[in-house]
Amino acid sequence: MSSRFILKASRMFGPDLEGEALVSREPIHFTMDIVPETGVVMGAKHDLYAENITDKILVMPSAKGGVQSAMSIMELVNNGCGPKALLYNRTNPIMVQGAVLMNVPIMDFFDQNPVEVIRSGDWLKLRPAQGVVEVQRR
Amino acid sequence: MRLIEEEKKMLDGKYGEPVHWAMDLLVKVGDYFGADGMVDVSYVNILEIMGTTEKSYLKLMDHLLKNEGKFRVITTTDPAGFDFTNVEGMDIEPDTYEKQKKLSQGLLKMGALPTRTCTMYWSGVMPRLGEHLAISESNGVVTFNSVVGARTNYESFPSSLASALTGKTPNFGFHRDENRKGNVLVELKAPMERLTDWDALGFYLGKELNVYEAVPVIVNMPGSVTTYELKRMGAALATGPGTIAMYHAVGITPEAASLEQAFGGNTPQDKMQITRKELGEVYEMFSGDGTIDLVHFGCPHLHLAEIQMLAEMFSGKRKHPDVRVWIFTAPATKAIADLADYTKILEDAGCEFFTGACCINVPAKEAKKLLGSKVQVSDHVKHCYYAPTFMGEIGLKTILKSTEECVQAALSGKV
Repeated sequence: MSSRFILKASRMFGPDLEGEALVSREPIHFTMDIVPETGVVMGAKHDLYAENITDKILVMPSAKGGVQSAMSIMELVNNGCGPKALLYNRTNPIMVQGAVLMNVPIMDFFDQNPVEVIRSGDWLKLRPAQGVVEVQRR
Repeated sequence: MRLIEEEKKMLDGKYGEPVHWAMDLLVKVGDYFGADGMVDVSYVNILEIMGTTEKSYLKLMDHLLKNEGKFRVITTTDPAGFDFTNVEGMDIEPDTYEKQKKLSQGLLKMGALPTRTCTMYWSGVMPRLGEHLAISESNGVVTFNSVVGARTNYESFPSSLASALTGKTPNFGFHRDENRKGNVLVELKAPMERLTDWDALGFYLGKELNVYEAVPVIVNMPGSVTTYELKRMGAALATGPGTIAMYHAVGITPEAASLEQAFGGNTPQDKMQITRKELGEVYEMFSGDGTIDLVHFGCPHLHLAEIQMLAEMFSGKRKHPDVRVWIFTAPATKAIADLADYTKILEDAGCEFFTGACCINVPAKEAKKLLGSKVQVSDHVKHCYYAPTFMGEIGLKTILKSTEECVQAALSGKV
């Protein structure tokens, strides 16, 4: 993959922004896996254990968790430790409801699996209205 | 998305700020999923717990109450964080009590019916085949879609509030015929010997099929299966890695009279066989032995028949002095258990009832105090999965055993 490439999503919401990618190989349960006051991933077995999601563009394979997760996104954002945006290979309505509520960009159904092609530390430029994510490798 | 005149007025704020807030959220969610418009919902279920997110709940409620939000359709509630009729049993602190009361009273003021159960389908609400709902309770979503044939997506606290305030939900996902067709074939080859085997079956499938769009079609399910067995399987399909909203069981569920009807022209994307080996893997994930501190029953809340079974098993016996035995059920179910004397039999055996509450959503402070560094055994996999970490890591260990083994553990103090 070249040092700059583009992914296209077919489902998307939110304002344009840019930021650093944090890629999780496994789903994140926003209620169970993240400390709401700090944004730190708990659970020693988790792929992102001890990482902080604050202001990161999270890249994840799928949604995880029941109906409470939308409020966990709201709480993280209200506590100032929310993610900057959420990119999923496949998401579910709960994550979309939470992201929309807090005006956090969310995108899924990409032309390539974002977990496979984006790496943690990549700089991402999101244009959700066009369904575009520009990936800059650093 | 196309909106009818009344929906446009809602969005434009003609019916006040809460309805405007609600319609704005529903339109954005609908646009994301490509909904063509809204459908009318006849019934909504809403969360009444705050978990680790109480600030956000109260902030949202304040906004809607200040602007005199009112629910337009029948709206029931999920369990609260503790039992208002047994506050001592969970050692609930005054601060926690006040916050829960604020949320509960706010929901009542907007018009909610405080059913306080995750098994709302046994508390006076029974929709019909094809009826549109907005259900915030994952096991309720699975049961209504699959067992009843009513139609709902997964709804969160804000989106279910929005549906209650408008009587609308965007028309996508499981509201639409094409998404309700099966796409994975599951052949059940394991004999289902114990109630908890249904938990194990659901959890295994949920873990393997971890996308929202997956609709498993189960063949060879015994015709004798009960709704409380299906409750367990449905809850487990939507636990942890599982994010399933609907299944078919051929010859059992209403949209699957035949294999052909269940798939509706779809070709199965995947085929699976479930034997005792797969069920055993789930028990293995939550295994353990030795001395225990607590035995838990009822996640989701127990059916009357499950309470009757426990009453028979505990009748004339007494729990081990070092063990607490917790039974969780709906207030409406408990009222009938009282009349049938099951409550007395179980309390005489040393069991404690909690009604209208959720053991995996005991507020964080109390959970740490009550459950921290303890060993708990349960016959429900949803509890075993969530209880150790839902309130943050508190050092609770959970072990999954059959109902009979759980009763034995309550009597002997060990597994």
